Amino acid sequence: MLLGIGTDLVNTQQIAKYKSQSDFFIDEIFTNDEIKYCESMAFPETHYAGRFAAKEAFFKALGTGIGYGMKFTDVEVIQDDLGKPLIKLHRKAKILAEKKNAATIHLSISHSKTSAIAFVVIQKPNLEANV
Amino acid sequence: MSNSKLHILNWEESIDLKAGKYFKPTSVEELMEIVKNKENPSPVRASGSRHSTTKCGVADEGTFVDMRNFNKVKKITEDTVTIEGGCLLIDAAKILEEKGKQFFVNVEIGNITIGSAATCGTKDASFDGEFGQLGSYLIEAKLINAKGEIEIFDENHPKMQSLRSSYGLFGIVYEATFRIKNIQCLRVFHKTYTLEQFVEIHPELLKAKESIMYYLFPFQDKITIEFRSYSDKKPNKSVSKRKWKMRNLFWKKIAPAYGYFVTKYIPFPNLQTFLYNSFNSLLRFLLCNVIVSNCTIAPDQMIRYPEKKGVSKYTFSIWAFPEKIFPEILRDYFDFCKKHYKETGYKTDLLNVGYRIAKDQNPLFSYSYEETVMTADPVSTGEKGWDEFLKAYNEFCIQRKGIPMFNQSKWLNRDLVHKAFGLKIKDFWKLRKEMDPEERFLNNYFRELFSPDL
Repeated sequence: MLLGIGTDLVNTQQIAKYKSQSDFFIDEIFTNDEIKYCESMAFPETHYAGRFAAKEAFFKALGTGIGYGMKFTDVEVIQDDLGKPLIKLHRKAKILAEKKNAATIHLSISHSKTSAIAFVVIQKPNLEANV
Repeated sequence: MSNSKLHILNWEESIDLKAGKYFKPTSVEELMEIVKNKENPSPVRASGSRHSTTKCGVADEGTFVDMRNFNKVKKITEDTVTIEGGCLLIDAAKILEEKGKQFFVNVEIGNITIGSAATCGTKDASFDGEFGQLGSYLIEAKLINAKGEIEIFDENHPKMQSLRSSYGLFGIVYEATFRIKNIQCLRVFHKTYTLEQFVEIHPELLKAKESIMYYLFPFQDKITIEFRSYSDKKPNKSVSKRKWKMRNLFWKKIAPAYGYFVTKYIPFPNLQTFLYNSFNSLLRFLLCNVIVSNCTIAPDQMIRYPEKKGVSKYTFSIWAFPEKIFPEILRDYFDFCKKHYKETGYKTDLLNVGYRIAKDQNPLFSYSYEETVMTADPVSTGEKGWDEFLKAYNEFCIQRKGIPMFNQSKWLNRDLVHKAFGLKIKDFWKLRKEMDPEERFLNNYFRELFSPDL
C-alpha cells in the first residue's frame, strides 16, 4: 500500500556554489559516510546533488517536507553491495516514518553533468499479504 | 518555577507554543541555570506577550521561558534607556514620557516586550531621517548565551546586525539599551485618495518629509493616508490625548468586534459587503475629520491590548515592497483581493493597512535592507478563509519581490524565505551555528525556514 511518492531535481552547479560560499553547508546536509563517498568520486558535486535530491524527495514522499524537527542528516543515502542506493533513517526522520507507518522506501537517483534527479516511493505494510 | 506540558497559546489563540517545561524566572542567575541545565529540554524559547502571528516562538515540547518578571526600566540618560527584556514597550514609553523622553519608534502593539523589540522585526512608518524598526535603535544587549553565560553585544560587536534579527536564536536577551530622544509634538492628519489619485500623487509622496501610514480599502479602490510629522515645539498642556485614544479604541475594540460580528452573524454576502463598506466610510470620515491635531505625542499611538484577546482579537500579515513600484503593487493587490473574493467568497473583515519604511540595514533581515519600502498588510479577525487567503497572498508577494517578516508574515515556508532573503540566510546560519552549535535555542520553525534550498 502506497504511503507517498516524492521527486526532486537539483542543479549540480548550485551545489558547487553553495559549497564554495559556505564551509558548513556540507556538514549540515550530509553524514560523514556520505561525504566520504561523494569526495571519493571524480565529480563530487554530482553525487552531492543526487543525495540532496534524494533527501528532498524523501521528505516529499513522507508528506511533511523538511520540518517537524527533522534534519537533512537524519536521512542518509547508502548503497547496497551492488551499488543500488537506499535510504537509511536516523533520529526524528526515523521516528516520524514509523509514526506514519512507513515500511519500505524505494529510491532511484539519476544524474547528468548539470543536474541530478531522485525519485522516492514509500510503502506502508502490505496488510492483504498478511491475511 | 516550572510546570510540565502546558498548553500555552499565542495571543490570537491560533498557535500552540508547545511548552514542554515552563519557567518564569525572576533573576539573571535563574535564567542562566535554566539554559545551562540540560535536563531542561531544547529548544529553549523566551516569550513575552505572545503577539507573534507565526510559529517563531514555538518551543516544540522544549523549555518555555516566560520573561515577564524582567519588567523594570533600569536607567534613563539624556539619549538612552536601559530596560529589562520582559518589560512591555508601552510601560517603558510611559516612564520615558514622564521624563520628557520618547522612543524613536512607537509601534501600535504596545505589548511588545523589550527582548522582542531588540531581536525581532517590528514596524512603524519612518519619520524623515529615521528608521521604522525598534531594533535599529538597539545599542547594547545583554543575553544569556547557549552556554548559560552572560554575553554583551554593543554597537561595535561584529554580530550586532544579526542579533537584531536573531529571534532568540543567539540567546535570551534580559536587558537592552536603546537610543531615545526628547519628546516632541506630533502633528497628524489624514487624507483619502482614490487609487488613481494615489498613483498620481505617489511621486510627491516619495519626496514627502512626513511619515506615511495608510489604510487600504481594496473593495472601494481607496486609500486613506495618515501623515505625521514632528514639530520643534515641546508638548505642553495643549497636547491632545483624546485623538489617539479615540483611534486606539477603534483598533482595540470597535473595529475587531464589528468585523467579527458581521463575519460571524451576517450570512448574506451582499449585506456583509454593505455593512463593511458603510463602516469603512464612517472610519474614513472620522480619520479625516476627527483624528487631526497639531500636537499629539507619539507614545499615545501605542495600544495596550488586554492579556486575553476577547473582542480585541485581530490578526494580520505583512510584506514589504520597493516604494518605487508600490502603485503597481497596490493596484495588483486590490485586484488580487477582488479576484480572491470572487473565487472563494472570502474577504478580509478589517481595515488593511501599510507603512512607508526607510531603507535600513541595521537588522540583517530588515525588510527595507535594499531600499525604502511600502508595505501592504492584510488585517482580519482570523475567521474561516483567512489562512487560505494568506497562503495565496504569500505567493502574490513573492512573485512581486516582496520581503516578509519572520514573526508577522504567517505561513512562510523555506522556498519563500530563500527567495526573499537569498544569501543572507546562509550568513545568518553560519553565525547562529557559531553562537549555538548544539542548537539550544533552535526550534523547528527556524530550522525549516533556514534549511538549504537548492
